[in-house]
Amino acid sequence: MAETRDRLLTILQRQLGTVSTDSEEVAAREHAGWDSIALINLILAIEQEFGIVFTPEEASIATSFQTLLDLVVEKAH
Amino acid sequence: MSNPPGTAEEVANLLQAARDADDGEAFFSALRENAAVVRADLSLLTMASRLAEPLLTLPEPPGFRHLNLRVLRNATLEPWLPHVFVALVERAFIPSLSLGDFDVYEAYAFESTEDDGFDGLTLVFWDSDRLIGDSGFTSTERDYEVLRDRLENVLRALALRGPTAVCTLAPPSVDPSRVVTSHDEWSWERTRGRLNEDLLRWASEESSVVVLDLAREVARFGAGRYRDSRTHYAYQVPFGPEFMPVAADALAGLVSAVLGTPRKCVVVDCDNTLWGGVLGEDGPDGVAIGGEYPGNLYREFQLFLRSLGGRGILLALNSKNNERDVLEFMADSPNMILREEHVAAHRINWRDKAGNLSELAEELNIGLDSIVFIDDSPVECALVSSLLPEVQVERFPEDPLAIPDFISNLRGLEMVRVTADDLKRLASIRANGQREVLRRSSGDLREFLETLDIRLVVRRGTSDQVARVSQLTQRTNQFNLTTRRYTTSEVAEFVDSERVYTMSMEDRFSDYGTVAACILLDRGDGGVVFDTLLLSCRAFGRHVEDSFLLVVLRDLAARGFAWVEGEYRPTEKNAMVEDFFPGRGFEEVRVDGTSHFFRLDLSAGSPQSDVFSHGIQTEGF
Repeated sequence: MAETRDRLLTILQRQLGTVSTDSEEVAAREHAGWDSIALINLILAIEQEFGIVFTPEEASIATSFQTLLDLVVEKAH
Repeated sequence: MSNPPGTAEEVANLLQAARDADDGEAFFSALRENAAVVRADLSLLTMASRLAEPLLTLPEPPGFRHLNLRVLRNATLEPWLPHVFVALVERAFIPSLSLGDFDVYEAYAFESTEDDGFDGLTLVFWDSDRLIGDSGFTSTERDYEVLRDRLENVLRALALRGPTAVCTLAPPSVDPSRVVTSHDEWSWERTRGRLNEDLLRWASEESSVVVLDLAREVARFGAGRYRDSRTHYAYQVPFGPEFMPVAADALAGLVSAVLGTPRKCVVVDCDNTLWGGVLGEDGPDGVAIGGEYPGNLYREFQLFLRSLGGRGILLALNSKNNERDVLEFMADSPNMILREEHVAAHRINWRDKAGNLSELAEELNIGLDSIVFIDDSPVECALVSSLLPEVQVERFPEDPLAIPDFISNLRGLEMVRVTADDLKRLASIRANGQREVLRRSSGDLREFLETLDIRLVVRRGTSDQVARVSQLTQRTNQFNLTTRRYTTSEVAEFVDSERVYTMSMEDRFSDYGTVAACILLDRGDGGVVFDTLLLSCRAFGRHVEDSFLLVVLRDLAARGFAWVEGEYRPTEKNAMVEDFFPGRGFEEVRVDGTSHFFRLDLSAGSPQSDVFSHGIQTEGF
């Protein structure tokens, strides 16, 4: 779990710059670089890193670090 | 060939450190060297283009060029841009990329014809699903004509505003007519084919329009897999993740062909490159070349090399072999495609290949940075990369089945247009050998030049010379006083305002086509400045530059100009002309930055000169 979290965090930091993970509630809309367009590349990068595939419905709810982490953990295990 | 790539993490750290230090040179060099690693990791790819942003406005690092690229589109191309960015950096550009608003290309094209200050290349991308599928197209001739006229109007309007690249249309996701009949004349698929033909035709008519043949790239990649249904239908992204780097590389190749310095000569090894096996050991009957596997793969490579001649690219051989064995095999083998007449020069000996390459460059009068060297030996490749870093080194595959992909992916040889002068270059280079024999038999230079029977034609620039003049500005490095690169549309403007002179040359051996050009700026106070003055390396050593200058100066005097200034802007490669103006009576009057300006008074009348007695004609004066 910790390793997955670190790998995911690395991807977000590379994609968006600094990312806060202090709270589950750090929502995408509160991060300047995290918009629907950036989300496409983010999703593709996460899929590449973990060898998983998100459905468009899953991608649409990926609005915070925590929801992304939950999705990755669920799909990767 | 570059240093061994680092891991993604190492490259990320390298880029971050360069960014933190505001070191553009370190950043772009690291990115260029590690482009393969960056491309393979999507998070690193986005990181690279994000980190680069504040470095884009720094002065150009050595070997790189700034480029503004604006993309007009009817699809979501944002995820593609990081791929484009890295592909362009790999080609030594520092790209500032901007996207037009979604689906507003027509508004942009027709909104205003005034200069909006954008100085760069505009790319137009039309997604065929949205263009054909969403446009009310119902498969009739009338629908096709409406669509064709709409695209043509957009393209011609954009062409008026500057250099424009347009992508051919890739196959739509779904073609309803295919379900009904395979012979529907106005199916979406056949309409797409017609529109692509139209795009190619318009580009041939508009000097400022070039075509990115995306449809061809899709055909190579796979029409059924270039899209990703999820990203296409959920986000309107026209390419799947795997096709994005392919499309980006194709675009970078086109940009490089339009604005970069293309390679002029391919130098190839022979054993295990032109044929399978080692001629000296396996003998003429033992090497693989011909119609059967694996010889047919080497034959494919030879066909490709022979075709380069049709594009004005020289071919040379650099092989460790007995010269006689190779030349006899080329002459006698019925299976060989390449013959000696296809080869501009060769070094077939037992000396080191780096030394051979330097000699070939000298013999062909080209820079080492104009050469692509292809060899199957990793040792030879490493040696050349290490000793001659300007040479583009490509390792030929060990597995003959990899040859088709090797050919398809070979970079640096892209050309937008092949001019008649490109083709004349080949003949003139081949004539060099005969000329050298004659030169050695004539002790005196003047006597030798006179025996060549050189004929020159100096013209005021005309529209049919635009492509060649632009090409000369892009390619000429040594005899180039200012090394300013101009696109065809920029040259067209200079020609329209009568600021261009050109000179073509023939001698008893060959017709060289246009070998010299100059572009003048009218200072408005009775004087003009040579913004550009250049001479192709094909014409070096004939003293024709003096004839060209003399005719231009006389015409300027006749046009009433009182003085003329020459500019010398030093580069790494043009030291040979630093004394050009002072050596011809011009006096240095000022230094501006790195540029030196020299002035000649024309008010006393037509200049006189003791130039060689070449036959000079003038046209358009």
